[in-house]
Amino acid sequence: MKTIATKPNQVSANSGGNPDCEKIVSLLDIIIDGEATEEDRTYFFSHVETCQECFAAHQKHEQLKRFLRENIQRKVVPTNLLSSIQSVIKTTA
Amino acid sequence: MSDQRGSQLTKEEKDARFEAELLPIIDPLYNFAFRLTLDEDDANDLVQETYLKAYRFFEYFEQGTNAKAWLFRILKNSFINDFRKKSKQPAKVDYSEVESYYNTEGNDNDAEIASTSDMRSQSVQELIGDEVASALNSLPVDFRTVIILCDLEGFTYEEMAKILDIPIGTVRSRLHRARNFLKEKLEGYAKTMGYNNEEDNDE
Repeated sequence: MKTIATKPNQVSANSGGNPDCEKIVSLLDIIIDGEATEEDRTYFFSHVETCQECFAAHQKHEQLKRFLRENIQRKVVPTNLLSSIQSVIKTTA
Repeated sequence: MSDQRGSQLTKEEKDARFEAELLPIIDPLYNFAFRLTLDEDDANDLVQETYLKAYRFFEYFEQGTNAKAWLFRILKNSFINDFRKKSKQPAKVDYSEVESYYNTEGNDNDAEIASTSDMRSQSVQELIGDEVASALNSLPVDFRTVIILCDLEGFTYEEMAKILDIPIGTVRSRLHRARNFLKEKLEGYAKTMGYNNEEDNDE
């Protein structure tokens, strides 16, 4: 088990000064999109475990993705679109 | 296996295959078209055009491969080649222009939004939907596109790279920037709606 309070990056949490934190930010997208390699994931989650700022950044990124998916309403396909495509296709050689 | 090309099929066979493999994708395709054009009639035209092209070039479609990605790619190319030219909108918005737009978008309208927060929850839900959609729509089309493909349609980076004809690295960086814009845009709003509890410690 890791000890939580001893990581230096926790102290300097408030921005890009820490190269670890910078790397974490650059990994956020591939992490939430399920595109990260196993190595990236290990690195990411072991850092996030101890760095509060990066933990919050990860939460926010993930929330945004979920928020969009849940709140962008899908449009209903106009009823005649499908049939008009089908009829054009039928008459096309 | 049957790697019969479309061209060797009878018209009946071709039509049957086309209907079975491509027409079921009409729903996501129409939604993509609408999110790009932001207009129902244009979306309608764009989807029709996409299917006609797909039919014409059906012999190039390898059966069993990713039909959804193939159609999305055709639609996106039609959008760029035809629709963007027709409507006289600038093809690209300068990134810095957008950035400063978001930066000046201060908290001026927070009070206004806050006063509506006691509405019934269904209206609130609709309101959120509208707000989120308008935030998404306000993104330049290249940024909007990656969000739609990734977050709403669930394409992988590799599929997106193929659909958009850009390297995977560009997919990544566009997504990252698009999300940062959206976060800024939506954070102030979410806070007033009581969604962002992290920063509301004073209650």
